[in-house]
Amino acid sequence: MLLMKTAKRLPPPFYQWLRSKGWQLRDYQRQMLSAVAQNNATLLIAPTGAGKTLSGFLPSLADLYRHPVEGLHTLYISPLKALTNDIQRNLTDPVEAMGLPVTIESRTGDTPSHKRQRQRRKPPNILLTTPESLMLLLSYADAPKIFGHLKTVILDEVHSLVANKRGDFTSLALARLQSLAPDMHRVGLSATVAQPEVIAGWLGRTGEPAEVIQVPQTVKPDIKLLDSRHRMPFGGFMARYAMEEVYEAVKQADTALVFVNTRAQAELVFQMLWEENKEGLPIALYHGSLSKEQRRKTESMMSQGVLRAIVSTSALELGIDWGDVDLVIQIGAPKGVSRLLQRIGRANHRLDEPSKALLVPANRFEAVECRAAMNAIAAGELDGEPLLPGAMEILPQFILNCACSKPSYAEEIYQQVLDAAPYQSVSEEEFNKLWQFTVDGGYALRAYERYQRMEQNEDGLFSPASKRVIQRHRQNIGTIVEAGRLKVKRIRRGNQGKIIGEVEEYFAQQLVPGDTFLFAGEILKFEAIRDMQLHAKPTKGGEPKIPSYAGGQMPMSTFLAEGVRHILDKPESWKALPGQVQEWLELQQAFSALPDMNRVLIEQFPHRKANYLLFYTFEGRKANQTLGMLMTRRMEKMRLKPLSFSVTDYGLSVCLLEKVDVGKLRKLFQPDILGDELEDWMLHAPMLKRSFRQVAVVSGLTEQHYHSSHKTMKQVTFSTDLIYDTLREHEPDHILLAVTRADAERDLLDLRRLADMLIRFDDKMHFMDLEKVSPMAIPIVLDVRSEQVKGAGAHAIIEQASLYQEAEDMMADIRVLLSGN
Amino acid sequence: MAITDTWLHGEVAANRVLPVKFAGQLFLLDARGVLYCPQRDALVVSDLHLEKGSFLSRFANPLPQLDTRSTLLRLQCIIADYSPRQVICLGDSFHDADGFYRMSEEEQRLLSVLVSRCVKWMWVLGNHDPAIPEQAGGHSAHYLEWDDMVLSHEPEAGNAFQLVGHYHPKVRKTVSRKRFSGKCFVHNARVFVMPAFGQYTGGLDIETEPMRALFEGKAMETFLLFEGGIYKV
Repeated sequence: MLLMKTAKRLPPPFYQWLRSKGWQLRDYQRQMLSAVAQNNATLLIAPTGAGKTLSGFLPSLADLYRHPVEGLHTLYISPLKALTNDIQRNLTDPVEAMGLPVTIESRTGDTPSHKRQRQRRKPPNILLTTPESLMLLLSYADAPKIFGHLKTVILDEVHSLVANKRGDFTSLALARLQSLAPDMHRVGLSATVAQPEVIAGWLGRTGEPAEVIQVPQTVKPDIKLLDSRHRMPFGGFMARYAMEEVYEAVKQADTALVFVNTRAQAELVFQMLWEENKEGLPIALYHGSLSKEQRRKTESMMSQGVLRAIVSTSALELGIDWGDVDLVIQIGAPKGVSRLLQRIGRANHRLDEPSKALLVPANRFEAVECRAAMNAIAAGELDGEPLLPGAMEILPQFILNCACSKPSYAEEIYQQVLDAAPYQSVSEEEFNKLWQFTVDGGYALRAYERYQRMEQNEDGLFSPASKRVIQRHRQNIGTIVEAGRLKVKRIRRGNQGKIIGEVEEYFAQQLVPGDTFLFAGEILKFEAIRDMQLHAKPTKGGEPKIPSYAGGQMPMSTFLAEGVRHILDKPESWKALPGQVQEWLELQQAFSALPDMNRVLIEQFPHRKANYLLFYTFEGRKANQTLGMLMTRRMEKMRLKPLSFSVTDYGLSVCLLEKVDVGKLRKLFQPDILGDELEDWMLHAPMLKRSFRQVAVVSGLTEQHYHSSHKTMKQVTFSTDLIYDTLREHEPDHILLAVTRADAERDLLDLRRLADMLIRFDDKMHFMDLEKVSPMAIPIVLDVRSEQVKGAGAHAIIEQASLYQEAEDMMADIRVLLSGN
Repeated sequence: MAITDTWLHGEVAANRVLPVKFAGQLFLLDARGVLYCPQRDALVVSDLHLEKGSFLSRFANPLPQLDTRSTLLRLQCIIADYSPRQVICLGDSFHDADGFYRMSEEEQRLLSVLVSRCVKWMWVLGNHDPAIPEQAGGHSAHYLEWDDMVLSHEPEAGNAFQLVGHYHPKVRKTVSRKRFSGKCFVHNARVFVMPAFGQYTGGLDIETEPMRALFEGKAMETFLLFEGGIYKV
């Protein structure tokens, strides 16, 4: 094979181009050239700024130079739309400079339809796309023609696709591609990760992990923890106290990226920075809820170098090249070491110089978390996510997608599913049930007059029952998770205005007319929801209701939680913390106690007319969430009237009406809670309904994207909770209920970890009965994202509130009426 | 008449039934979403939307079609408790004109048992079911009159008092930082709106425009249905 022999070298024009840029071929780039040719899958792990993306494309460009072809040669898949635009720019440069006979185009949800049609007729040599757009392409009948001669597929930022549903979805698309183009090579590009083998396993076909090429990080970043002149709060997430200092840092840098964790934080931090912005520096806002046009505008201003700072959520975290960012500011807790490194890597795209970063904790607990992350980076340790089995609710989507492209047998699709690493252990029985669900809903009861989504022809092949099914499926492809979304329309007068972005439906539902909220950097007044749009008018002044939409919330890695615990356990290590944080820890020690490694600290105190119990478990959000569910269930049985609970990565806080003593606490905090309460909870928990909501949408049971007719939308808006109740009562064995349960287990429970903890700390409680909230409890209690418990406590509250004096008098009259009948 | 003083006393104590006075008459509101008129021994239920599941399934939504069965079984329990002389279904009993014919035989049987059990079964016609097939049993009418109160699916101007369905009212309420939401009964001095009973029926918040317009901003009384209890909020 010609390719093999010459693969180690590039054609001459490439060297000329590299020289003209003042670059030379790096060792690992040379390694890539041969590895990509020899292996079915290759994973390149390199720190940011190492020229990763170009390395991924070099083998393809060289091959296209030597053997020009018509049609699709290389497919590039990026998790972000914005990234495809960026890559197209960066790739077109060398291609034009070298005069290569290569066509490059991108295809995303934003691509105009005439261009999309042309791309199907005459595909470019290199197509840049997203997983969702790829799946859509795969649903067309001409997919085998488009992809039949595909040589290479490049997955960028592949670490962000492992162990989540979008990644599961992508792995299925890869398996399908492989069946269309059996000789296709896979190339993955990843940031530095803790366990390369996990990503290598994901990237390759089942049982054939990718070959790993790893480029070591040579320079450690220069990270500072803000030691503020101002008083750092105990709780809260907005870091208002530090804005003056953040602004100073922005002023001193040429260009700064200000990262926050949620969209709500992004809005508020942006506003606060502008309040500080006496010099009127160009500071912009960027998050996933903003409209395409607004994001595009910010992106182009940034690449022209006219901005001094951008406040952003994780939307900018992945490899977009912003040129000359020289400082990254992280506001709020970093939540994970790898994530922090990735963000810091956005500053300074040169390998041999340290990136500069400033960490700004929003409260004192976060300061400890920042310190723990800095320790880990200094020690070269990273946190990793374990590989999870693929989400089953995506399979009906995949099955229908395949059938839309061409009539299929179940067995053929099953083999493709098994070829996707996350789905390698799906049993035939499970698959067949999901298949049947896709065909006709799979309901055992109500055997007659079923609605069929797929029909079988005389050869036994299945295809979609109607055009409508295909159309509905294509509109809903890629609906992976998350709440329904509403467009935000900024009203000028009447009903006229501009769409400026999107919010989650549940946030919109909380608003009553007249409420104000921050969006796209200004205060808007809510008017109404009309035609799936949230109408709001700009308004001046007033304290806005913070957009509490969930977007971008992220769990802290358990690895980091453990780091925090170590710092707390060793008072001698506190010196590295800001003075205020040391004081806070000392205060906690004096007022209550500090969590240590051998016992679990439990505090109780009255707060806001209720009683709070705080368990400092340090077992991570998932395990705490599960513990919260089980604990409140047991409290309900013990008539302690629990009302709600909230979790952080550090602990669990339960709000209840009754007070608890040591004896009761012993009964609560027991390993047997996993046996008695678990089953009970699994059947009744509202969390399962939440999981079902997602499962219903992803599996195509109900739809998120509606047809143009409003009628259809209205009809489907009754909640999936009702379907869940109905199914559970009348058909408890339905496959979607099993999938929901698996989904809840995957997302919420961390049972083994929880069991270990309960056994380890059985009878090793450190109980502090306090008069008021302890310094350490404040950040946890202030966390507003609480789970409501339905039960006697809730009924007690509403009963107190519903005074209905006349009822007694009426009852007497009713008795008279009844006796008269 | 099956309800006894003892039973009623227990239900009221457990917040499962509440009395209410409207148009000078006394009624019982059941937390399961029905209204009972002791004076006439009549049970009123609204918006059953039978066969909504199978209707939506025609539009490529593979929904479980168990809603009719579930709705009827719930109604059966309530009818067993009250054994009313008459049952009034206040419109939108079937989600569409063909609804009855899509019911399974078993479900049709279940319905006919319910209908034949009381002396009088009345289908008040709604916008979703402008006609009820004869096979469904019972009688149908566009409206009923109880003294100066009119029972119809949708309200009409000019009536002194009216009992209606159609709106599927829901209410949200926050008490001591805890959020409650659910279907509700809601009324002012002249209009009384029933909650929707059907398994697959969503709701319309009483704060939204059509409901506000209906009550013309005049004081409303609202009874929230929450987890098997009924509360005046």
